[in-house]
Amino acid sequence: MQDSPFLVLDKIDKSFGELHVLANVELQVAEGEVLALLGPSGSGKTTALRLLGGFESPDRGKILVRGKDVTTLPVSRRRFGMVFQHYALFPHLSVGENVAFGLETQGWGKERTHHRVQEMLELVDLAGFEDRRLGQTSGGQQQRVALARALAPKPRLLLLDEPLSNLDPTLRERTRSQLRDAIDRIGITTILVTHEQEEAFHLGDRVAVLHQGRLQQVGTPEELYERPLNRFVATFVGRASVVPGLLGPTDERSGEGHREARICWAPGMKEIRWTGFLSAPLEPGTPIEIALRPESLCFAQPGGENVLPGRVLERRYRGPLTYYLVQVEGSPLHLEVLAPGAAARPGDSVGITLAEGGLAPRIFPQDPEDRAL
Amino acid sequence: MTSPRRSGAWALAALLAWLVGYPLLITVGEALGLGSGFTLEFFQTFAQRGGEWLALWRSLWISLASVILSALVGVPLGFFFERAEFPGRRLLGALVALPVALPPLVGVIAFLFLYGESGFVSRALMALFRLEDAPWSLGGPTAILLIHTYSMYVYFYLFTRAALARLDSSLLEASASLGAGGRRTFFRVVLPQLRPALAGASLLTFMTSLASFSAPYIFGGGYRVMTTQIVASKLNGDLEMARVETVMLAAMALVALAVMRLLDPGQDLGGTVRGIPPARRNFQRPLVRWGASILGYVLALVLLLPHLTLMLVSLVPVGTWTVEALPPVLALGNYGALFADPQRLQPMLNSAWMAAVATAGALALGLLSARASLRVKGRLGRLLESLIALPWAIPGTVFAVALATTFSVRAPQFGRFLLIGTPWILPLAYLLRNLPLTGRAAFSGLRQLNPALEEAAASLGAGPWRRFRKVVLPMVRPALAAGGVLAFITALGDFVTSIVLYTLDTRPISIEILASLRLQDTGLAAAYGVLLMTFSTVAFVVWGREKGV
Repeated sequence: MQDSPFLVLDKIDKSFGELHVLANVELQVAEGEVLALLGPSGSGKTTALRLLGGFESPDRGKILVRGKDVTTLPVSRRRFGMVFQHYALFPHLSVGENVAFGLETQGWGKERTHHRVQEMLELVDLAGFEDRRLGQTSGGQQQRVALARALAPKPRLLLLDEPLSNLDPTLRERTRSQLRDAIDRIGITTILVTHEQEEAFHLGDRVAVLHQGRLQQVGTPEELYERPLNRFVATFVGRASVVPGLLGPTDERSGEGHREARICWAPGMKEIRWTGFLSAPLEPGTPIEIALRPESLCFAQPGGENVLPGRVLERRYRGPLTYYLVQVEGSPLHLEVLAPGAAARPGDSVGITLAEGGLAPRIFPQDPEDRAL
Repeated sequence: MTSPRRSGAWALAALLAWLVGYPLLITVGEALGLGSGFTLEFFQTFAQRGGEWLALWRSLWISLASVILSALVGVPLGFFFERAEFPGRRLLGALVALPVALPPLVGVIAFLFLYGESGFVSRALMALFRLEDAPWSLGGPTAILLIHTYSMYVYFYLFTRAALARLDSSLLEASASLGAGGRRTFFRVVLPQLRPALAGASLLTFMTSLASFSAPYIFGGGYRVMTTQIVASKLNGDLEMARVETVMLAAMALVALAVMRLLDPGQDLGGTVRGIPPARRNFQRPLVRWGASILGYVLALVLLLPHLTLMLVSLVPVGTWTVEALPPVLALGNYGALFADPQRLQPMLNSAWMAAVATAGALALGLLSARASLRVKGRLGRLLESLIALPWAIPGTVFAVALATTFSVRAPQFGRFLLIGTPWILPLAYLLRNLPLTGRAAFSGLRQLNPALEEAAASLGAGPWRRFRKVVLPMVRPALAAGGVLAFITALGDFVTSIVLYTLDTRPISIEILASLRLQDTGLAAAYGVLLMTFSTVAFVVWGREKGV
């Protein structure tokens, strides 16, 4: 972000009674950027959005828009457009009246309001729907009415709360493209909340991952997938198996940051050594976890050097490639491997090793609390 | 929460406490002789009089018997109209609920004209069997119970139907798949599901019956229950005793309410996913099918006979019907007199404006309080909700005496003003009595309002007033309309508070009906009754449509 940020969340804390929902959240969003807040349910993402919208106020911290503090500004004067999870369309008003609602509060004249409503309905592909009652529109159409209504008064910022969660999967993908298209055409700064990685990756220029009220990582979809900063991000964003081990020496062949992970999978067995990427400086011998993407593993002859022996438990066909769930021999560990469809069948004994030239596994210091998991 | 919101809620709570709670406290205080010392003398006098205890006991047993009889009529009717399918079911099912829309006094006089000593049935039997005297006299507890059952079975009927309509058919299927037969399914699955509805109907019937005044007043004669006892004491000028009786009746109502709450804490049985109600039983055999239909028509006819009687009597000119089985002359003269004679028109105008003012006030106060209550939540919110509901638990007679006691004194420093004898006391009484109706409607409307709608309006730049006017009000309008309509007709037909508080200038319709009866002008009384009945029925239908009954 070369410009000064358009929107800043500065050290935001929020609790509901005993429950700490957000802790020390810091976030910066550039003008025109689309940021997706991604997290499981209960992660605090909706609360973060409601704080931004002004429906809740933070216990501590500030919200700045272009350097101006808006933390205590009433909702009605923030000029943020919001699309609610269940749309919150006014059932007693027609489609056109819903879209015009925000214009009337701003005192637009009749003629201008009419034009703007037309323009917005065209933007969301609903030209001619002005006089329809909400009961005569489908779920996907209602979603777009909600978007048109939020955008009509030319807000400074667009907030989307799980905007597609009410739609069925086939409709969701199409509506998602339309949504991204509309946002791009207007070029509005947008914050969106979702619990679906695919949605966050498709819509967001950057994605902020929240877990237990804390921001885990903010980055482009590529950064999050290829270079997760912790175990939670590695497993929540995309699929990954996590295996415990001990940190080994630097792997000279693979270059900076690459360290050996020594994996001792079962008592009395010879440990294997896989190379992964470690971002934090740690002493050799430290307990670590190594996160492995299914596509960075492959099948190999059992018994080979640095090959884990295992048995195929489950095979999930997915078109061009197939997911295999493999139980490591003599150990409770499970690994997921992505391989061609004919590679193995359930019950087969297989060996697993790192795929040549694949995504480097990520190494994280072991969290003593996570050990129990 | 911001503090203006809280202070507004406190102000409302104070206003409600002054209007609703304070008069009751004043009444208790004066019954204890407060203001000139403290004495239990009046309560001792009450305790020593056998007649007082007898009236209290009668109020209690009549109320309990009313619950049982109403259930015996209403529950089977509810099952019949909800579970069976036959030609005419929908229309007849709606007609069967009509007695509840009849103002109590109108229902009572309709019964009088139908089953009374000189009523239709009695005259018909006399003509048929050539009897010299009326075969019965309608009076005492039998008459009271008869009319209570007639007007209150509807609670059981409506509640049973509503609960049956909510019943999930998969529960019945599950029961059958586990090997339960019809009887077992009924007792172990259906009845427990109906329990909250039946408890609700019982409570409503009991409280209505305890507060019932018109039936014991007209039919009771010397058979006094608590409500008529209070009014008799007051008319005899024994104000101290009237206050003690009032306190005792109020206490009984509150104790009954508490006991009912204890017996049925009103737990929610709807925990699981709401399913599809079971299909109605469609009778296949034509004989059974038509039998059910005929039964339905007969039931509806019997239940509507009082209404029809009232209409017929309203067409009988005064003095033309003496010993004949059917009235010899029918004419619209009574209605003409109603509108032509300013003396007779006045009570209708009085009732109309007082009911309108009271309803508008009750709507405004109910809506404000409900909104404040739901916004501040917590203890203050619950206090507001309780204050709104309180007049419901207090019999009308009690309320009337409490208002008469409180507002017959000019002592502004104690929040007491002289309202008795002014045109304002009756609208105020109606307003307070209507508060639970409008308040409950406002609560249910606001509770159903999705909070995201107001947030959406705010995010679109709408300030508080615009949010209220453009989003909240249109959304709760149907609920308010339903509550308002019910409140209006209740006030329009009110008898129980009016008889205590009316003045000559503000005499309402009910008082005029009573006066006409006293003058043997039954046709005129019936004509007033028909007008009230028509209003009430229309209002009830409107209410039912809004409620989706």
